[in-house]
Amino acid sequence: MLEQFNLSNLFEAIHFVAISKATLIIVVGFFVAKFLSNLVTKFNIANMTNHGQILLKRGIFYAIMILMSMSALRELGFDLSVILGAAGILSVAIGFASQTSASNLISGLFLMMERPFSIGDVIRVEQTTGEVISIDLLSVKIRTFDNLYVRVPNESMIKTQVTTLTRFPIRRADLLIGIAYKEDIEQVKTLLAQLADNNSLCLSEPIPLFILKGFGSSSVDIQFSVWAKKENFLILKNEMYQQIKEAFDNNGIEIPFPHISVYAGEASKPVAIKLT
Amino acid sequence: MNQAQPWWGTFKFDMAETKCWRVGLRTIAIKRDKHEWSVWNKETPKEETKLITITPKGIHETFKDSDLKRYMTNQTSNILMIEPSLADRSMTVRPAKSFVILPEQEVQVYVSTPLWMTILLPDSEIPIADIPFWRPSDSWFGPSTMHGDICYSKNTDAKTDRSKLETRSHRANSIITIKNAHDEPLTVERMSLPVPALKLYVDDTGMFWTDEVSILQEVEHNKPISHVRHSPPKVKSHIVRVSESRELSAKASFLSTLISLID
Repeated sequence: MLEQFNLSNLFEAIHFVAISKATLIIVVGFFVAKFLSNLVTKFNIANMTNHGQILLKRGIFYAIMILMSMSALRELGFDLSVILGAAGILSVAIGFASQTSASNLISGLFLMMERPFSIGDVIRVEQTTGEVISIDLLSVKIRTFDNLYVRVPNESMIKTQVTTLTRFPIRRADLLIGIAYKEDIEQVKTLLAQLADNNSLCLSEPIPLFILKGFGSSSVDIQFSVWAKKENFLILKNEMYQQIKEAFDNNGIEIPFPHISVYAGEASKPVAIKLT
Repeated sequence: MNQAQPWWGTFKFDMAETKCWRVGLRTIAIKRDKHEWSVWNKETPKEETKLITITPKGIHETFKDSDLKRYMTNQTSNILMIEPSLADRSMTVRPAKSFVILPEQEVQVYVSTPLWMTILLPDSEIPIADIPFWRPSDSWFGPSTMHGDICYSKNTDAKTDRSKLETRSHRANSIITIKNAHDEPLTVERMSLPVPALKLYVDDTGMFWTDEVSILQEVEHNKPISHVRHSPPKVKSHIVRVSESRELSAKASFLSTLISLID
């Protein structure tokens, strides 16, 4: 009886030592992983982009944590080959149960390989436009300009059209302008060219584009396209619209609004209205 | 030719004193207070050809319509350094009329670029302000809208006669030597001048000069390549260097990274 008691005590003691060791490995491993992964952001290795740094940081952290977990499991007496075998069967079961997550995970890997955008880029996904703040395995997080936090699943990112607005250093602002039918188009063209020329944010090259879009219901429709540095895009667009309005006002060029002409028959005269 | 007075160098400021650098109505005013420097920047749309003058603030001058920036410090010193600097980006120079350089010919054209007024505190390499007298328009130089560089643009007469150059104290002249080493005529519609890599000099008459730029245009593997070199300008009068280049260009890498500077 005494012998049995001593034996179970011994087993408990051994277990306690093993559990303590495993816990220690996990805790120390966590701090080592945290420290080493933080080094990546501290010393910008090979001038990596934010996105690259975060990927490397996560890679280092998870690699160390996996190694430490394996080591801890071994310490607890688990046979890793059995666990890996069980994990294979388990992964099939989990795969069926969590198809969406698995799909997001795989889409995330594709996104990371393809890199259509990076952290800090401004993207448009369906109706959402904002700055990418994080690209994770399951989703991309976007901060919209009205400061909302939007989580877009990676699967949606792969399936839908994503526009990266800040991919190239310059952007074109298409200004839509309507002028009255009576106006001299050539004069308007010269005036717009002058405005673009005088605005230092408007790129001289590529040269601004003047497109006569057609005859609208109340106006001659024009598209005037100017180029700007991506950072100045909105400023230039606002400035140009304001300057166009001022220039048109100063030069007596009418910006029409929808007109309706009422005819009361052939060669009709204005309808007389009498107030009693 | 008018002799321009130096508007750069070391300037002594008494407490509450304001000094104004003016080109016609264009004014940059600096005021010293106990704990701050105030810089007013009054811009004008049209570039003037007058020389820069330094005057005290007018009695009734208020700078109400000027842009004000305040630079705080523990204690302002009584000295301020003013340096003329070249543009902070490359300059795309577009001749009013494109010209053609015949095969195996070398031409020299004169081009002027705007200057910046750099304001520095003594014993400090970082300027407190860097203001262009007239900011040139932004532009883009590259083979497509995807690949290229943001630069400034400027129209030029591309003068070939040195005596036709005007003395303007807010612009610097560059001598560009272009050699067409190709066996076909080279049409020059625009050139990219690597201004940030050039040093700035002033001659006896107060005229500013940049390093001279030599462009050798040739075709390598069916692609136009520009080999660029820069060296102190070869002008008749004595020149003094007034500012270093903004970018320290390691010549070899500078040459290898450029593809074609001429379109």
